[in-house]
Amino acid sequence: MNKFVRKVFWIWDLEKEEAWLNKMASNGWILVSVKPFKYEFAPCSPDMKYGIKILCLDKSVTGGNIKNYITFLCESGVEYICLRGDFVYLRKKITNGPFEIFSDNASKIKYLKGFKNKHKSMLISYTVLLLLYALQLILYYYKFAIVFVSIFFLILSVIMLLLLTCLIAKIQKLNREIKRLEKEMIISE
Amino acid sequence: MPNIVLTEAVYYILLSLLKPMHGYGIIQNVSKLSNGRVHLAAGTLYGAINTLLEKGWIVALPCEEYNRRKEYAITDLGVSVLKTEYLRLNELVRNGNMFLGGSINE
Repeated sequence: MNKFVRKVFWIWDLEKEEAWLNKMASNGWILVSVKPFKYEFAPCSPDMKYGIKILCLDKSVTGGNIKNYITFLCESGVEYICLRGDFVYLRKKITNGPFEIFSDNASKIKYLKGFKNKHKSMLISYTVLLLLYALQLILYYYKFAIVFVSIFFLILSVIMLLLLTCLIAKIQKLNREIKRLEKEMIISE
Repeated sequence: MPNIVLTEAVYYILLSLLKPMHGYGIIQNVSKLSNGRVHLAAGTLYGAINTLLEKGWIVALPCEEYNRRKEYAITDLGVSVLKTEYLRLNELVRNGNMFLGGSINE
């Protein structure tokens, strides 16, 4: 019998989400579908080891053709679980070594850069929203003097500010990882 | 042919495609050729294949009805790149032999 688990992960928590899904897999529950805030798992035998990956489908990785990309992965021994927005959930039976989508630093860097750009575009839209909310806040507080509405926009602004902080932290983390790999590439592939 | 240094993955992909193969075949062949040392991951292979197609070093063969997996084969240009790389690698090994020869057991 399948098990449903409700859980929320933000885009900058992708590694945490992946780690959790892998832990579920090692406990005998393999991911079969993802709905908004809801994960469906099917039981699998303990001797069947699976690895789970969540991949951001940026154009730099797929070459602009998501269908071709997923088909290619599936033909190469990877199992497709589902697509959620720009993210694809994949799994693979572990035979020798962990499940990896990229095996050299050059392709890892290319992927991380695309992933970083995704965060950057979110950063821009969040900043625009923050400015809009802040503007409304000023307008309602100083011009119309409607305190109730001002508080509403104050809360929205604070939320946007928190989201922006998380996004910036994630971008910095990705930058450090890209730099580390680029440094490695000076002496090895 | 310009002096291009190939990555290990590209060298083994080109070497594999001297015989037409599909993606999964390449992954298995590379693992076999390297005695299990090189594990080409599918995403890396996808990127490499697309770049090699763009460069005209390999071509995609027309799909047959009963076999939907796309097969690839090396082109004449690809073969000449591979040969140039083979000569470069030989030079590396020759020089290695000159300095380390006899002192290393596999």
